[in-house]
Amino acid sequence: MSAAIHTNLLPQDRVPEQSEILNLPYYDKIRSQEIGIPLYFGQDEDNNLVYIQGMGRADKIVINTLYSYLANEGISREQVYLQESLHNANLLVRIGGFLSRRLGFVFPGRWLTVYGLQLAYPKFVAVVQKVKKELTIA
Amino acid sequence: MDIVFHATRITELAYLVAYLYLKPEVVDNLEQTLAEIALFRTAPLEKGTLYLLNQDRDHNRLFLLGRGKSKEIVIQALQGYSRIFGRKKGFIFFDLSQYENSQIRYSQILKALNLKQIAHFLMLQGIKKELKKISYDLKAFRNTITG
Repeated sequence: MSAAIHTNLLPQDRVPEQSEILNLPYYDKIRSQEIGIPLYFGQDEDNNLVYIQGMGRADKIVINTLYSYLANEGISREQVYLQESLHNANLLVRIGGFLSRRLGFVFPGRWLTVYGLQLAYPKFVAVVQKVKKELTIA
Repeated sequence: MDIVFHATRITELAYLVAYLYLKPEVVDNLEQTLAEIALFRTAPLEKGTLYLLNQDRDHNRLFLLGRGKSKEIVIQALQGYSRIFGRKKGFIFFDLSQYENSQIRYSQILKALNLKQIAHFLMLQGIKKELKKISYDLKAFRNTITG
């Protein structure tokens, strides 16, 4: 969701329709065995490449791996901007995700997730605006 | 090509396997080898940190990686970063968790409880048990790398 707003696939001035969310790339399509793979999502207006990455419960470990990888390759940390986006997900989103992905109840799960995302949408927009501002300053 | 020795956590076992990869002849004297390893062991590594250990004869860099129980996630992430930054050299992974037997696991618990001597003894016993398999697997691994 955050990546879609950042790359202007979703609007910042209104809450998107259910169909706009459901048609996003990768939406509800990433299998659990694909967690960890950074996936290219698109580019923003400043040509920054935007990736999404699921980290499961290993977020701290994966971030350590990223930073130590950059250090070993002599790449500056400033080349990468990390933004955690799951903290914006409310209870409805989490329950919907669990129903859809874990239990296989796709229809009610997706419906609940999309509704939860629509409710939390302003928070996602606020985070994206903060990120864009920081990227512009940098 | 870079070689990553990865395990649930980095212990003497990880250092030993990397060491044996470089110097297979030291297998005969495990006590001495472990004592040598202790000299260049650093503080316990944070999980996820890719620790550059050394280079082999073919200039492959050797890394240690403690990746917790999230093996697939961390490995897929690392491979992904490598693709993103257009890295030409690939990673080869060597999984050490297959050698983490109960004695090695208990030794970690005892070490955390500051019972260092008994922890070291258990670690030694645990490694001795696996040494033959480690040597065999490393030989096959070396052959795979050199083709």
